[in-house]
Amino acid sequence: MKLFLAEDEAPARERLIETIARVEPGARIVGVAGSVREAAAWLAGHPPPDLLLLDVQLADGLSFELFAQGAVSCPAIFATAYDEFVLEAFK
Amino acid sequence: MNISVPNPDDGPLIPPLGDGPVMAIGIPAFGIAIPLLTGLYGTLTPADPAFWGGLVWFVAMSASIWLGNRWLLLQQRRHLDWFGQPARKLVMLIAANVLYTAPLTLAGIAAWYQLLGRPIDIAALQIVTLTNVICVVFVTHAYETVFLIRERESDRVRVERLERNRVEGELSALTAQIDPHFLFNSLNTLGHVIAHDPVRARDFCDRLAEVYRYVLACRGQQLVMLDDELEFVRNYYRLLALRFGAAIALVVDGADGADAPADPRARLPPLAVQTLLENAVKHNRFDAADPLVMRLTLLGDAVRFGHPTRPRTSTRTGAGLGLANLDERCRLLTGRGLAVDRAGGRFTVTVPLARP
Repeated sequence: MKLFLAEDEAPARERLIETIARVEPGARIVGVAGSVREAAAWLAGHPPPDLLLLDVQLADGLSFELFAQGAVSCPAIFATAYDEFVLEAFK
Repeated sequence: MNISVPNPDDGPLIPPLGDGPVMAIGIPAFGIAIPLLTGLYGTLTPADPAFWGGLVWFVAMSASIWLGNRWLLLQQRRHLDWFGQPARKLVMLIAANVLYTAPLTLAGIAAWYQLLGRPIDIAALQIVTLTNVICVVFVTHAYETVFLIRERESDRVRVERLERNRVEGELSALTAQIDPHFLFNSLNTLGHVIAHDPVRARDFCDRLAEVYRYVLACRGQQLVMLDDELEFVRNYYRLLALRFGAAIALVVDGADGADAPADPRARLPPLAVQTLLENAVKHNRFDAADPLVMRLTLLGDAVRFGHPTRPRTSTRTGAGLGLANLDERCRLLTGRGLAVDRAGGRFTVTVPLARP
């Protein structure tokens, strides 16, 4: 399974990668990004992965913007500590 | 105003009047002066015993008039107030005065002439009655004035106490706290660093503990020493720096660019600078290729915090609350608010310092 990760804090990103390797050894991280801009650029230049793991709050904005831009054509999982984002994540 | 019609069962409404000395002087003074000035003694001189009898009689009348009117006045205070029914109160005061004072005076003087065995001097009777009524109006006015001054005084004390309570309540509501997500994110970071770099993890853990030790120490404090706040901000910044790496930077300097020693007596609301730092990281864009450089400048009577304005394309709501809270706290505690400058692509906030 090909995964794309967006997370702006390096330690948290590395920790997520480790956790994925542990729980799903078959998963392959095909790309990472720290900002909405980087994520949008990667998604535009690569075939869609199987799943996106997105931190909602990135270094330059919210990852919801990727959906507003129409950059996403695959399932996505949002990860956030901010409960006020829950409803918007479902929209 | 808060003067209400009291319930008669409310117990003593009026505090001790303290009018004893005034009565001790006023009652004999009126009792002696009015008959003398109105010619009630006629041809009597101090040589006549009747003169002295009259003196005692008139002082007794004066006492009856004063005490009777005083009692009526106090009774009326229980049932009428100047703010609820001013016209009614005025009419009742004058009516009670006239209806009590005039008959008492007439009867007293008539009895005096009777005892003296002389015909009633109608002119003197009229003058004394009128004088008494006017004097009672005068004394009643003095009483009411004192009552109003006392009420005003106690209202002022009450208003001041309310104002103080309000400010204290506001301050506790505005009490700053670190965004709770900071702890969550820090622990996540720590979980990663522990496995990869135990030395750095230890440092991170110590600083995290220092940050929260400071937050606990500040609880209930309205102002803290600038030095302590700066030490705390350095620790807080180091925690952020570990999470965001080279994407953020903090420069601390004096007004002229050189390191300036902070005035150790200067004080500011706790977590003031931390709030600004937290906001800057929350609302601005940054990455390692284009770091967000924040600058903290120590001025003589203020601390200035600034950075380039690089708004995120979208952000979590709730922005501005921390800044508004801090502004309000500064206003309440130092009398000066924040100075916020958004000119020239930079966002700069100046926090006033309080001198002891």
